[in-house]
Amino acid sequence: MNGNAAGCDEEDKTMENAALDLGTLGANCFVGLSRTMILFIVSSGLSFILGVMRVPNIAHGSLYMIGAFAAYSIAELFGGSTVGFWIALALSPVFVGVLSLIAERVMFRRLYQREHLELILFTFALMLIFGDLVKLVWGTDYKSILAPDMLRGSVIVFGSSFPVYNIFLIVVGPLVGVGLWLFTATTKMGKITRAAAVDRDMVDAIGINVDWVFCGAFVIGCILAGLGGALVAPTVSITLGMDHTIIMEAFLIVTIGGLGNIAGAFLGSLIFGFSQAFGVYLMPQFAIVFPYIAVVIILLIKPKGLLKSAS
Amino acid sequence: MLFNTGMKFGSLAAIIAAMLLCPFILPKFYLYVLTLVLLTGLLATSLNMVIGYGGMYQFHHGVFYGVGAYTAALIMAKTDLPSWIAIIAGPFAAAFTGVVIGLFCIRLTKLYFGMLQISLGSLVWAIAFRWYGFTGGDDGLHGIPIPSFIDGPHGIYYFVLFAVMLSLFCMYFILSSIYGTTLRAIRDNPDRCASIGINVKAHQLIAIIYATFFAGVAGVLFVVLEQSVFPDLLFWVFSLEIFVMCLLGGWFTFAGPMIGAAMIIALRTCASIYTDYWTMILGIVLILIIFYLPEGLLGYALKRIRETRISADSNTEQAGVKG
Amino acid sequence: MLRVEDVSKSFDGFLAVQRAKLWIERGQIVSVIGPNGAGKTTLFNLITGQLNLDGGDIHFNGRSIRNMPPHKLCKMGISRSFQIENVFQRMTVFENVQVSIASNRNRTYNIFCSSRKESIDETLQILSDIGLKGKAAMVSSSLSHGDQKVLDIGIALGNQPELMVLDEPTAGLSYKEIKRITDLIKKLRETLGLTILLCEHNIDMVFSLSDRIMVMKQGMTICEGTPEEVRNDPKVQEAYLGLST
Repeated sequence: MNGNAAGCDEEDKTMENAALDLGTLGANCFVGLSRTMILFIVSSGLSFILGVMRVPNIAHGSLYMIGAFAAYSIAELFGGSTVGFWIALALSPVFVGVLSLIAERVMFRRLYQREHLELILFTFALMLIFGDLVKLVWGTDYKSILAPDMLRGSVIVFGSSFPVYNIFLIVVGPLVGVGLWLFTATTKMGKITRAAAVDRDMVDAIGINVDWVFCGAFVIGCILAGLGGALVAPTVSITLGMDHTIIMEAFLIVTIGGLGNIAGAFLGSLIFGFSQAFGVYLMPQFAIVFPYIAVVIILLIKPKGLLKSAS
Repeated sequence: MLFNTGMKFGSLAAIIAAMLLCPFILPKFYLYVLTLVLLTGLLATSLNMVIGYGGMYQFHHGVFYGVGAYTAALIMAKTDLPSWIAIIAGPFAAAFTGVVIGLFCIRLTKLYFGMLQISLGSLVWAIAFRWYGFTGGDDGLHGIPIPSFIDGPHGIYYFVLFAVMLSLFCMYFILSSIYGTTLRAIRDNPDRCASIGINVKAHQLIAIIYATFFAGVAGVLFVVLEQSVFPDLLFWVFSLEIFVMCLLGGWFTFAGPMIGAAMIIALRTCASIYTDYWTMILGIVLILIIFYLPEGLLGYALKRIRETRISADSNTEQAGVKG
Repeated sequence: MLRVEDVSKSFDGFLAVQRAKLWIERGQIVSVIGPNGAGKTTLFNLITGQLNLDGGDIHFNGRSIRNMPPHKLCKMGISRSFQIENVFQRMTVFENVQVSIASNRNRTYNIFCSSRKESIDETLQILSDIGLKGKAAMVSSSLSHGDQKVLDIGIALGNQPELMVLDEPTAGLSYKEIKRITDLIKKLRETLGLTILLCEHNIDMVFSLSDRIMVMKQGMTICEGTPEEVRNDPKVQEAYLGLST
């Protein structure tokens, strides 16, 4: 009987350990999944701009960062309350949208006739300026905001705890994706942007002002970046340098997903997020290398990305 | 030709003479800055081989600079091999990386080429950034011993000057050859080149090899100057800064990138004394160049000289007719 | 010399060229004419390797050149000028032709030969032949439209071709410039012994210049023959004038 009991105990222990290991991996993946959603929201904006304007918006990460900082300021205005968070979530992307509109109308659109390379370098200049602007306005200290009450805390599922806010992100991500898809597939404005992505001259020839199409695409893309920043704000320290990290990741995601392809951005984000979670589980020191390796492998096989790109 | 050969040689000789005398005139800090300008100018000129003369979107040239630097640094710091091996190995490692990444990217054109290069280059950065044990991680490596045949700041300066002049001469030589003309034709109209029998991809890949080799040279020189190496060299933001140097100076000229590098480093050194917001200043400078000086400083200057010449010529013609 | 047999090409279901036929003898000047959208440029792209055939075959000097890429075709002796984007904009007139000759002589990889010394005589010879020698030092983007078209032909000559394929060589030119190009084409045949294939909208020029004419409509060859034969052919008259006289 003693032998049996001991045997049962050991069995229980192994099963417990297995559950824990799976649990840790599962928890890692889960956190990875919520981060993936943020990456998707930001990358979809980048991909959208890329598809319509053929320009990789290097300032995209800066707008994400501004979104986070703006959310912080707005939330602070309301004393960090729950209402404050939701208002911040709504207003911060608007603020970023207005900023990008100003940049586009005042400067960017004068360059549309120029060499492609000059447009890309312009967005790089914007990144440099926005980066320091953030430093000027908000200083160099870490900032943070709290999630609203209803989204705080964790839920226990299968013996592991998952933060509620992450569940929130996992819900919001696909919603944004569906919203963007609906926009391009059903609304008139959306269809025009799709047409401009395929044949800019033809859109021009049928009398639609391509300038305004570009403006719309740029602003929408930047709003998405700002939204991503506002959404991520409660889960990370809001710091300078956020722009550098996110833009690099978004670039990679867009490259493996197919330039201009929103579904590709989703797929790319999943691959990126999961390979990073996997990396954290396997070799924490080199966790960030795993997504890059995944990218290289994919690009070896399909150099233009997994899904069809806007040519 | 705008300037006759005599004027060209004369000014070149004057510049070289001035360069040779600098250590005796300039205080230590300025000598350091000048050395940095020289090697960064070499780096920018190597990039321009690919973008200005070759028309390719080389967005992550810094990788090859960094690989050259890290190779030399690692050999010098972690092995007992003589330092000249490190100095030779750097450029070859950079060129090898150039071939590997180039083979991936050459299948694509323009934007795709550039973005793929950023992706691949970032992998190199990520590895260097995290491998504390080998590459020093985000701290990099410090206290790398200078080769014994180089003696103090003057020695470093002359070594860098010599290496830069030799490299610039080689690059100029390559670009003035019929290969250089072919490369420019590929830049202007790759389809037309294909239809006259030119293997466009092969020529582009060769340009990448030359350019990355000299980027590696610049990397080695960085290690000699700073006795340290950082993953920042491999970061894509830095690569775009080199791009800006080429643009500022004039990317359809040979000397433009060097001038651009000098201006940027001078601006950065000055600005850092008075303000923390150098990055914003760089951004504003870049916007000004894009809007008002798309041909760069040197390109603009040459254009003005050309225009003044033409109007002077037509004036004298008219005068001749009348008189 | 060149035999195009039942060649077809479609794009996503749209049949741009259907069973087109063309025969060219050495030393002839042959023109392809037809209304817009008839498939002339597509046919030329099939002959000079920019596009792959869906059906049919093309023979050059007895050899099938089906789906050969452009750089191989130019080694075989077929050279082409283009309707748009036809020169190297930032390079001088001299360099434009020089690079073509260097490519023909397989010297483009050579980093040891200064471009100041490369193939000077041959380049000047071609510039002389086409009448641009006086403008050798000018940057090609500053040339007039007509000069650029002439330079385009000069670049094509650098390959030492047997057959020159000219895609709308007089498009957008003034009357004087058209005459200049026409004279140049005649000179290419008489002095340099080239065979010429061209497509054009300028009917007068085509009828005065050509030995044979092929008429295309909606991707098909509707008539092929001497200028007289073509002029009198009822199908051609209907295609162009919409008449059934």
